[in-house]
Amino acid sequence: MRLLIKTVLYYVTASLLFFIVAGFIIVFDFKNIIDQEINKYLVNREEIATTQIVNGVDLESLNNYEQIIKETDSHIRLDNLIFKDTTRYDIIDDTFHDYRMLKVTRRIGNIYYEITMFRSLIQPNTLIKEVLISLFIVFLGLLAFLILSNLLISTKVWLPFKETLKALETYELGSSMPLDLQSSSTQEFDQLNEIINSMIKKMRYDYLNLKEFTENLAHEIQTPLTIIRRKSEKLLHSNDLTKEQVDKLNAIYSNCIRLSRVNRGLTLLAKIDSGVYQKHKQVNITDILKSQVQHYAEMISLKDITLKTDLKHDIRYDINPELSIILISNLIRNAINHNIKDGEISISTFDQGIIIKNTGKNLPISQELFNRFQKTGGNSLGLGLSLISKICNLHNIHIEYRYSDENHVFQLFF
Amino acid sequence: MKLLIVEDEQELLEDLVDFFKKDFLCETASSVAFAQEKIYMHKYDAIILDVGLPDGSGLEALEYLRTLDSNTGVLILSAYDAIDDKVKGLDLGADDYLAKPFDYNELNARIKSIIRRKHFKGNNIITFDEIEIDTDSKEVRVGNKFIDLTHKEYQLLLYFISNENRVITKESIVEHLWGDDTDIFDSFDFIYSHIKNLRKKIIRACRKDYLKTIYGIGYKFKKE
Repeated sequence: MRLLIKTVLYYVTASLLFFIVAGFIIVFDFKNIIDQEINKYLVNREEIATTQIVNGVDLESLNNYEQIIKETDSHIRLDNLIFKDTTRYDIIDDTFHDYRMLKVTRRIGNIYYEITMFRSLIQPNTLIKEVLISLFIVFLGLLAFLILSNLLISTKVWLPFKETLKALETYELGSSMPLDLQSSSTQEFDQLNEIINSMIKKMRYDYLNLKEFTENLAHEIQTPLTIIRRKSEKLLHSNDLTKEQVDKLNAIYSNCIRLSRVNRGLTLLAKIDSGVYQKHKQVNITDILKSQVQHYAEMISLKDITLKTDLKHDIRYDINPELSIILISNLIRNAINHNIKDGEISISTFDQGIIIKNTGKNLPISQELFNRFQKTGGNSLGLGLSLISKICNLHNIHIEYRYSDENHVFQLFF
Repeated sequence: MKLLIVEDEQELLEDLVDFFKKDFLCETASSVAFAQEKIYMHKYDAIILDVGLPDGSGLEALEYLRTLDSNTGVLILSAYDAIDDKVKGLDLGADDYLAKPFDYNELNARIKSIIRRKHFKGNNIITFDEIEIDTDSKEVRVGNKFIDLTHKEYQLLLYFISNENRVITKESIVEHLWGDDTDIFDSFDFIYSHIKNLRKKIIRACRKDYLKTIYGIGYKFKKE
């Protein structure tokens, strides 16, 4: 969840709780005050009515809808004011309405009067309703204001943080562009940027160090390898060697060649990673396929493999020309390398790409084989597939592998 | 014929001199300054030039050489298997390029090919005993009989003759014929068929077997 939305949600929940509590308190208070006022009013009217009775006003003329005075015999709870909420039938709109009632028994002279006073509660109830409505409106307004101001303030306050995030997102460790973190007026963000900067600096230093080490190793190892290779070759040429010595020397010799080949492959992978092969050009993939097929035709026949080709579609793609050759040749080599005796290779094109299919001695390969040095045995270095997938990734070529009818199928979508 | 070897690694330099002294009068230099001095004072048929030298790039020496004459064949040796180096070197007038670690027989074949191109213009005939190879038309003759060779057999013969009297390992042959693709093969047995066929054709034409098998190692091509 986005930070802004999260804070707004918290704000809304907190203010909602606050308003509910505040609303209850206000309504409760209001009711209390209104009750007291109504009670005072009723007492007041009762006093007036009592005075009028004392003054000998006719009872009939004192009685009306809100005031009933009658003589009574019972005189229990004399002068005791009894307040009560009640409902009364209203003939005008044919419904029951809320009323506050005051009942008291008075003795005036020798006669006991039961005086009942009513006061309609319609008005106070409307008042409370009105208060609640305006309270609700205020709440909505305040809420809108809260959300809006929070959005605005947060956007402004968190801007440096967002910029830092964006800068980090686009930053590439190997690139020569330094990480550009703007300073802000917020201490914490400045601190964050400072920490990130020093971390990146350290990482970049390590990365460049490692890169330099790899490059140096790749280059510096070549001359000693040449020497080892030559020395073992010369030893091999000497006349009085036992068979065991020849075997051992041969092992040194061939492993030396192997080492230099691994080294070359790894250097190539490292170079692709470090972006040496940036230059793109439109390349005719079909032409490369044709020339590579021709190049490998002899090897394919030497391994008693049948080759079928169907290169009718003209596929053109923006790719680094050198890498395109490496890609195609590695695909074909892979198909040759992991084939079986009297096997088959089929290389074909379709309107979006190429399909290379080969019979193979192994079961379907797992995704791990696209990593370095994952081998299925044989003489391969275990770098071919990782080279293929790296080149495909670099040029947004979609590669699909499947295993069907005992065939390994590589499909490339250009 | 004179060969200048520019290489700063002493051990490698000695090996190179040791290898080439049979066919060439070898001189050495281990820095750009030395190389330029030698280039200024002498004329060489070919130069083997290492790129990474202590006082600069071997390409500087190449540039300097090309201001003096253009007839010296130059092969660049580089530990940097970089296309950049290759392109730059060839642009500056180098004739060939080989990445370390290299095979000595391969280097030898390349040097000889450069010298042939540079110094025997119009005469592209290589003679070995009775065998004559026209490197232009890629025809092989013994007397006035043509030997019909496949492309690979032709390459193989040329490689053998370039490395006359030297031991040639199977690996070296495979690398020469198939370059970097040697790792495709589980064993190098298949080259036997190429070699067997070539040998048969030569024996039939010359009634001589120049090719000696050295058990467990490789071959040697030499006159009787």
